[in-house]
Formats: sequence, C-alpha cells, structure tokens
Amino acid sequence: VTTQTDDLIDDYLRRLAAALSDVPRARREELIEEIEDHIAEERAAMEVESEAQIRNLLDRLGDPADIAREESEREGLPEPTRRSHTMEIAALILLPLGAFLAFIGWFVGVALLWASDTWSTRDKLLGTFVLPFGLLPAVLFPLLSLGPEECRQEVEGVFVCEPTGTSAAIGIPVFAFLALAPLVTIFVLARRLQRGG
Amino acid sequence: MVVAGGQEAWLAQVRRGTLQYCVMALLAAEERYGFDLVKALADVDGMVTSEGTIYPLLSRLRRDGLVESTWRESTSGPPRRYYQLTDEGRRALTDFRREWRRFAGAVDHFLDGTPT
Repeated sequence: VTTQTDDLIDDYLRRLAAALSDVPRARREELIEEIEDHIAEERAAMEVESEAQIRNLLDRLGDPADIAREESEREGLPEPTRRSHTMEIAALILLPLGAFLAFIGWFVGVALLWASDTWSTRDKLLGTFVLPFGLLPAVLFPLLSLGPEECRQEVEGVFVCEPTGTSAAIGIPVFAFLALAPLVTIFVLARRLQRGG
Repeated sequence: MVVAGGQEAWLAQVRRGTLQYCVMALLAAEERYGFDLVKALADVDGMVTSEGTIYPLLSRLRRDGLVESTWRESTSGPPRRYYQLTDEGRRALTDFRREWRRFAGAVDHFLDGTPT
C-alpha cells in the first residue's frame, strides 16, 4: 500500500513542479517544499494510511495548475506601484512639438526621453536624431527653400522670374521626409511604451 | 450548492479576494505556521477550495509586507515557518473589516428585505 500512495504523491509533486516551470527556481523549490511539508504533516496525523485518504488529501490540496496560477498571478489585487507614464507621454509630445515652444521644449523632451527607463538606448538615439527639433524643420523647410525670386533678363528683353531655392522635384520629397520621419519615430516609441512599460 | 455558471466564477473571485483578509484575521489573534493556518481556514465550510493555494498567498503577503515570518524549531519534525501580522497588515485588516461590514450590511439590507 505504501508504495502505491508514495507513487500518488510523487506524481502529484511532479505535476506541481511542471506547472511551476515558469516560476523562478528558488521560489519554486521553496513552494514545493512547503507542499511536501504539508503532505508529511497530514500523513503523520493519519492512524492508518489508505490510498483513499491520500487521494482525498491531494484533492484538498487542489490541482497543481491552480496552485501555479495563484503563484504567478496577481490578478484581482492592486499592483503595489502602478506605473503612470506621465514623463514618457510628456517626452512623446515635446519631441515633435517642443521646438515650437520657444525652441527649448525639444531639449526638455530629449532630457525626459533619456531619463526614462522604458526605452532602450537604441530607442533613445532614434528619438534624439530622427529628427532633431521634431517637426520644426518640416515647417521651416518650405519657408527657407523657396527663397526670394530672382529675375533675369533673357534675350529679346523677356524677363523670367524663378525662385532661387530648391525645385519642387527635390523639395516635395525632402519635405515629406522631414514631416514623416519624426512622426514615425514617435509612433515607434509610443508602441514600445504601450507594450513594455 | 448549484449556482449558475457566471455566479460560480464570481463567487470564486470574491472568495479569492477576501481569503487574504481571513488569513490576516487569523494571524491578528496569534502567530501560526502554514499547515496550521491552512487547517484553520479549511475547517470553515465554503472558504477554501484548494488548500495548496494558501502557500502562494502567504508568500505574496510576505512580499507585500503585510505579514512576516520567523522559523521556529518544532518538537515533531523539521523547523516551521511561523507567520505574524505586521503593523501595515494590521492597518490593512482594520480598513478591510470596516469596508466589508459596510458593504455586507448594505447587501444584506436589500436581500433580507425582499421575499425569497
């Protein structure tokens, strides 16, 4: 009888260990030891040990999967410190738009970006250099690139006037890049914040 | 007792959420070791469905600073980890007791006032 009941218990403990495979090793061993002590104490109190009694004991302990779930979940209980992402959200607003706030806002955004532990160094480099001053270059580019018109006298007394700046063929792609690059960066950083933070 | 599926799940959640305060209430009276606590809880019908889940709960209460533990030699077998309620645990228990009484009283008021 003893070997059969031992088998039942061994099998239970094996299933428990398997269910706890995701739990850090030290804690897993501690919990299994607690359950072993529990079983030993129950058995010590039994006058005559029968298979039925052992089965009842294990039933009362519960499904190993339930114990594992209780160990790994904190569901239904408030987190000890619920992170709010005020700093990260401020960074995501200031990086594209901060340069319009007396120019200095962008630097504040960069400082917040680097102060946060949500993002990797790669993310922070992306946020800083794509693009410096956020959307400001996109706004300034059309103003600067057109330039003053320059007129020159062609042959036969005809005046031709053209902007001295960049032609539209180059200007439109450059403008699109300046406008889209910071937005893509913010999108990438926001995704990371949503997932990892 | 047979209850509708949704109700059963809800009751399991309520049981789970209140269990920690029952553990803390037991510890407010005297320190206990794990097995002793589990048996005290299991003796009352309707409180614990899986005795083994008390051990993860105790570990969590310890991590959250609501209980603390001390190893003591045992006259029969290996040393035992005895759990005590901390001051923080005592405060949390007081708060819960007040809120629970208020809430349970309000629910009883309506349930008892309606013919079954």
